[in-house]
Amino acid sequence: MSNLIQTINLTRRYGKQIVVKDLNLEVKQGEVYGFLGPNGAGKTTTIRMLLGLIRPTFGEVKLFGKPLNNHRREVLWRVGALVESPSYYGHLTGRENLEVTRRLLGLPRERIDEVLSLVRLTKAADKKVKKYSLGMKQRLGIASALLGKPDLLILDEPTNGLDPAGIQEIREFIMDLPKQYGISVLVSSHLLSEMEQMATQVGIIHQGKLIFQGSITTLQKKSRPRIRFGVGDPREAQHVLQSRGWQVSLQEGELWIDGLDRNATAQIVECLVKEHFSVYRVEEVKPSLEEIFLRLTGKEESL
Amino acid sequence: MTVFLRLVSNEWIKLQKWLVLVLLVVGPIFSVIPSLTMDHSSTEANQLLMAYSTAVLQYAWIFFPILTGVFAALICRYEHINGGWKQLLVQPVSRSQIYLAKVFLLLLFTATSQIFFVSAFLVGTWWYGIGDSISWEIIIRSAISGWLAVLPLAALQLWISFLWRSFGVPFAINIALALPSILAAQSETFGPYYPWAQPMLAMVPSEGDILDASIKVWVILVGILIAGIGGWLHFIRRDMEW
Repeated sequence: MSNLIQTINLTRRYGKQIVVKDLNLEVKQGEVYGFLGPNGAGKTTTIRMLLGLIRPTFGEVKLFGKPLNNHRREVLWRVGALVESPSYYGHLTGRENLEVTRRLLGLPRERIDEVLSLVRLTKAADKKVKKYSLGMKQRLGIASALLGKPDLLILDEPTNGLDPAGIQEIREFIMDLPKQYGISVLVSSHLLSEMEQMATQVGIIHQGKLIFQGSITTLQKKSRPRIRFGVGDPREAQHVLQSRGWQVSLQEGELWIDGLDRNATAQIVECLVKEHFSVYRVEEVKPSLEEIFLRLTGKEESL
Repeated sequence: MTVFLRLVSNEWIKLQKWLVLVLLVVGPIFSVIPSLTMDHSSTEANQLLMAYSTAVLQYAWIFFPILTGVFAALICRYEHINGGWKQLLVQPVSRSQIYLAKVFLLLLFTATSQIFFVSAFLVGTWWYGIGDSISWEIIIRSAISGWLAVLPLAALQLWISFLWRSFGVPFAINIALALPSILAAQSETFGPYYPWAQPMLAMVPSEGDILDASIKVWVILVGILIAGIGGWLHFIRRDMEW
């Protein structure tokens, strides 16, 4: 499978501040690639560089295997984009907004009705866009991005500011794109839970650096599960286990040990039983993506 | 070429045409009517030529330069207010072509403004029944000279409109710099180089060739090149953070 997006040591500096550093993104065909990171991590700057809106200080962007800086127009024919907050001309209707892009691309008129129905804006097509809700503006932006039948869709925070129903709708819509229309997607978000549901691949950016890239399952495997022991007299049991060299933590009356394999788990149970502690529960706890992310970034900050 | 035509037609949809029309009508009317109703009988000179000179003074001092700035701001405004630029610039067209499409609109508006001004003057002379005759040639030459002489200012205003997102700042700068142009025009050394005074100087009716009155063609050309190339380079190179 070929890379639709590839960045090579992509770097952007503003004055002394490095906003994006040595980014090597790889987005393959047929994927929904979740580009994840807290606000201010460099997502929008990266996306703007992918589309040629801003220039990298260093490094290179390749779309469809071609360098962006000398094939920009050629590759942008195959890309649909929604950058940050929705772009629109408020004094025009939804249909006229699409007409602006349609004329630019020289597409047939019917295409407007097609994309309008795709994002379910047919009824509101002749209303002025300044009267649209945020969700409708967002959907209009997606419709406009889809107008030229792109092979790749780049969506920057498409669910930002939407209500839960709107988020769910756009999420399902995005998940369908590769299967139904053969469109690969790069979608950015600061919400991990969102990515969990729609992305097949994720790239996590933190302070301008890519700290993880791969499938969601790989991400989950990256962190070993913890084992929880429900024991009678946990304080004493912790003491005994610690004296035998185990790293044991006590939380809410239960014992937690990181990264145990089967053998080690069995040894601990055996030890506890021999010391006459009553063991009433042994459980493997998989960390949530949230916890994995916190461990990757080493920071307690909200995503 | 097709891309350029598409871009122009794309600009045309976005344009608030009624607003452009209102702006185009205001200047000529407010400068032509007072000039024709004014009493010029105290002079020996050609009444109509006097009236035309008065109209030019009003129109080319304030209305024409300021309107040029307003038009430049207007064709950037709908891109500035709701993220239009980023949407436009991720389309598979070159930034130079987008710049040229905007320039084309500005050329069109400024030329239309000249046509409206001359038409308003001709209709006015007929309406008020001013007897003297005036050479068509002089008026047309004055209008074309004025149009050419406003181009450095137009390019400069377009540049300023790319720079500022707000409508107010460029507008205020424009008025502040247009007002003293009547003083600048008095100076033979400074006036011809002051972009806001150039249209007025160029439109003063004369017998010579186009742009022969008081400004040299090369001054206008250099002005167009500096402001045009500057604005163009700025537009194609700037990082679009909006």
